[in-house]
Amino acid sequence: MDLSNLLIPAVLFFALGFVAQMVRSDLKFPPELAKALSIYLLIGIGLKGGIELSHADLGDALNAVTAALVLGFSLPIFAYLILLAGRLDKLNASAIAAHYGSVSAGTFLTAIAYLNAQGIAYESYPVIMLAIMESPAIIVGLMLARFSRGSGAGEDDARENHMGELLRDAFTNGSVMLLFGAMVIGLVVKPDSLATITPFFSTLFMGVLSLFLLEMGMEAGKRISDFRRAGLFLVSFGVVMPLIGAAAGILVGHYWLGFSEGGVLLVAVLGASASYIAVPPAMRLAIPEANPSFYLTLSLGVTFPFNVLVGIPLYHYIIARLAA
Amino acid sequence: MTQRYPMKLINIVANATLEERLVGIADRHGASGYTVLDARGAGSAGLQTGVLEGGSNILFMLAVPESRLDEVLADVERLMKRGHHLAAFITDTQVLRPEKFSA
Repeated sequence: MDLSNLLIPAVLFFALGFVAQMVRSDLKFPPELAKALSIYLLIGIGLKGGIELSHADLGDALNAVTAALVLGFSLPIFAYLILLAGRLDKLNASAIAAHYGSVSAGTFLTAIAYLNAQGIAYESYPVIMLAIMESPAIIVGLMLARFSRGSGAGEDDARENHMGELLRDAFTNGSVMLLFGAMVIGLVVKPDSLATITPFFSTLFMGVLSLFLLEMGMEAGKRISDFRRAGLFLVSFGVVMPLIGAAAGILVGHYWLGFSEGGVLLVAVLGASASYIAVPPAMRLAIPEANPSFYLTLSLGVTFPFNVLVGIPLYHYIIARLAA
Repeated sequence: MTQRYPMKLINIVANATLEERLVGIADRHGASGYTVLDARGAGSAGLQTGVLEGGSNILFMLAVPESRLDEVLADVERLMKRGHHLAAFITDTQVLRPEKFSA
């Protein structure tokens, strides 16, 4: 495994943010900047996916969508069973499981930066899979929580309505709207008129990603202090679950979808990553009983740094062996 | 001296995702308005840095006449019983125009 592959701006800026937090630097971003950058990144990746889809094969695309649904619905169930085996209570297990079935666009984009730096090509379908995989895990999390609460007789009606609203939220959340919306725009707009926005959304893209990862590095660093509260079992889960997710992603990407090395790595990262933008607010509303410091510490403080610094080169190493 | 009227001021610190629910409570109990500020901090829900949506708090401010206080607080308590992490602070306050505060 060649670790010099990690010397790309995106990863190094993430590490810089992490270090700045560790040495207690006074470095601070304007409060709303991370939210603004993530909007830009989701639109950028959506547009790119849409443009590439305009010359993609419909059958292959549908196959990728099916694979994304299978991963999105099954991974949270695996996560839930592992968490229950570790004696975590069911509601916290449901909430954490939803994060691990869903995906992190930040990790996905870091993997793209990693592939670009090495000149490795990849298929366009994983971008649709990214958009598809945002929501199913939220639904699985809601269902699991519902079963574990049992049925409180009197409150059932109120909860029914509640459920409909939450399902709507799962499909209309900001990340999903931006990804799908930008994909449709990229798909239907003619290349000539798309060229007018290319400098902003494409040429600048990796620079903006570096800024975003710098701030996420700082956010991840802040969560270290919550490790003790989460406990050894949960912190280890944050490292083991991405390995299981990556293995599932590699199996699906290599054997089912027959992607190239680059494409398989992206599917592996989809399986391995845990959401920290779309799912936490959804769980805040849907499973308020769960402890937010558990799921945010795990997805942002453990799994995200693990994937960016160790996971991506590790998965790539395994995939390269498999392909050879 | 200017005439002042007693009211109750409810300050609620909650996750930003609860804003819609809190506005709903204010509307249901005939408040004519409310104020929301972005907030950061830490508590039973862990660190709330205000950077990502799932880790951002708000300070929700609502003034009500004492006669309405209990019904509003009952709704807030219902949210707490459902498991939401929020803190409510109730203080005596005075306002200049009481009619401004009811719809």
